Amino acid sequence: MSGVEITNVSKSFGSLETIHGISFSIEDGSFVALIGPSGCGKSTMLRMISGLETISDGTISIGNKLANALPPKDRDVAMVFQNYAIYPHMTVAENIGFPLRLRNLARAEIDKAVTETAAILNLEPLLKRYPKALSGGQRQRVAMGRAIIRRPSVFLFDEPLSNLDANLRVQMRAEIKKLHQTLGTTMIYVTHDQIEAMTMADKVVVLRDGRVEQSGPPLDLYDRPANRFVASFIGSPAMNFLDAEAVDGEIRLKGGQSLRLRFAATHPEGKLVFGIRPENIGLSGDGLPVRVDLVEPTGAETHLELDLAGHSLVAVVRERVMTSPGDVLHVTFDPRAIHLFDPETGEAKPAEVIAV
Amino acid sequence: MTERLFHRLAAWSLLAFATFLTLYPVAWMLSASLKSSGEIFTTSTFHLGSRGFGNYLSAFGERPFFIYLLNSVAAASVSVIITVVLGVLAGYSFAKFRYRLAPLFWLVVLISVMIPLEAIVIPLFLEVHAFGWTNTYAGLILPTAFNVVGIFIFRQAIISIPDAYIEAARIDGASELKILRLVVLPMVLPSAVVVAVLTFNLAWNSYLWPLIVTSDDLMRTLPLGMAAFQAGFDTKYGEVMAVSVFGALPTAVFFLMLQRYFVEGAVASGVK
Repeated sequence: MSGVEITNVSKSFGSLETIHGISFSIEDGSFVALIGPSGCGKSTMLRMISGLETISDGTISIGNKLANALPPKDRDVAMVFQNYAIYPHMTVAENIGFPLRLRNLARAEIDKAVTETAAILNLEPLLKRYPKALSGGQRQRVAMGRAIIRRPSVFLFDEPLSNLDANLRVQMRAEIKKLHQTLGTTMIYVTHDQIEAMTMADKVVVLRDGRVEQSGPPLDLYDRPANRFVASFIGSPAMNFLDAEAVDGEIRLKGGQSLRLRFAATHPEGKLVFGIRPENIGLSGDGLPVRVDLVEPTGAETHLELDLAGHSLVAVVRERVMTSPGDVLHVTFDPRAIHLFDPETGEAKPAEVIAV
Repeated sequence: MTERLFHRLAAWSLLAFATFLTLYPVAWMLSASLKSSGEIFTTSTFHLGSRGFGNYLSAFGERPFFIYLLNSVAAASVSVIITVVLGVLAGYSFAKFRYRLAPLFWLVVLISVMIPLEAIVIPLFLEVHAFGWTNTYAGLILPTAFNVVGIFIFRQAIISIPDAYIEAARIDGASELKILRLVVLPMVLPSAVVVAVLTFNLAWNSYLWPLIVTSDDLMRTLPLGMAAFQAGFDTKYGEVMAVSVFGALPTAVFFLMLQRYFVEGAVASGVK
């Protein structure tokens, strides 16, 4: 087992630089998710850690050992691919045992390891089958088996669940997390699905355009996003952003509508972006009046599309709301859960706010 | 119901006709090999003639056909082995590796396909002669052993293998040769069979090169032996047909053995 240290890593394809000096560290035994929109460089980052892709500048260390020039096989990493990459001409047992066969281990030793690995993943009844006779989830488990059997110091996952249907994805998500708890090995997991990142990882690294936007524990990112991009990317439904301004120590929407929130300390006047998560909006008889545009009951909660003085707003409430489009409701914003951002740079501008 | 029956009848008649067209010459060859020269053009195809295996016996008595057969088998087998081994190596390289000289190498391959043997046969002979290889197996087999088409077929087949298979093996510690042997080759097996069959046929039917490079009767291959019966004004059709049957058998057996893969591979690689 070992941690991974990424320092100032950049990657250029010809004259085009796609990764611009990324640094982050992955502690030994932790589960780190790399997340971002497509083209942000998360898969390239993973491939550079695996050694499948060279790095143009910076250093990558795996287990305190400089890995820059090491070929993939000498990095002691195992990778699970998005399309599984299990070999169609080999049975499940042969697929799982393949890495050991490459090390020229004895037949009996390989069989023993395959049986043990299959037991961890509930694959015993399928060992003699060929991949074409397996379901998507089973194939995914075989791919994980081939990674586990090597007992590598780092596991790399490249969007392993994106080819599965929704139910199976939730199930495999839990299985991978349990696997991490059982094995305790460092795992690096690339995904574009923030729910996967939030639910599985100890630490989330948000990437955009080849740069780290923010990294930290998932709930830190949720509670204290460093900028508007992270705030919008983490959380579902996404955070509401309203154009606002600070006037006389109070927060007002563009157009003058008061939000009944004021700064606890003196605050410079000027434009800002007001952010509030849908789940931090409450219904209350003495709140701000809003018009209902759309009601989406999901059973557990109700999603409401609202109009607040010409600004549209999504709220998620736990209670059952009997309302229909056109009705007027009253909402309040939890002052501890609001986020303020610079309208130019998108940087978060933390400030203590109290209700009026 | 009647419409389906009609379609079925039409399909079956078409197939029967095509089968007849294909098999008739074979039947003619078989029956002619059992007839005397006079009978061949006076009796029907389905008449079995009066010679029995006489043509076979006289042909084999006159010329060392078993030696020719061995020579042909040796030439075709070596050609198949060389083409499959070099073809899959080159195909893997062209399909999955990027390096500066790759386009140049590819151009060389393309050009070498476009040059017919006939155009280079004289300089090739002079070169082989300078090696002292005339009337040797090396001279007979090696200069034309490699079938360049093998590179094309393997390259096409390997391109369609997703990179993840190869990368997974690379991370798991496989050398490139092991990746080729354990991952790539099994996945392109049908194409390998296509290459093997095409190359075997090409080598088996090769006429010009063996004719030029061998003068010793014991170095000759089957097609040269068959041609010997067509000399001058006296073509011994009975013997020619007997020898043709003998020469066609190994390819037929080879094809039947690999038929399942060949059909699969010919469809997959677009080769007919």
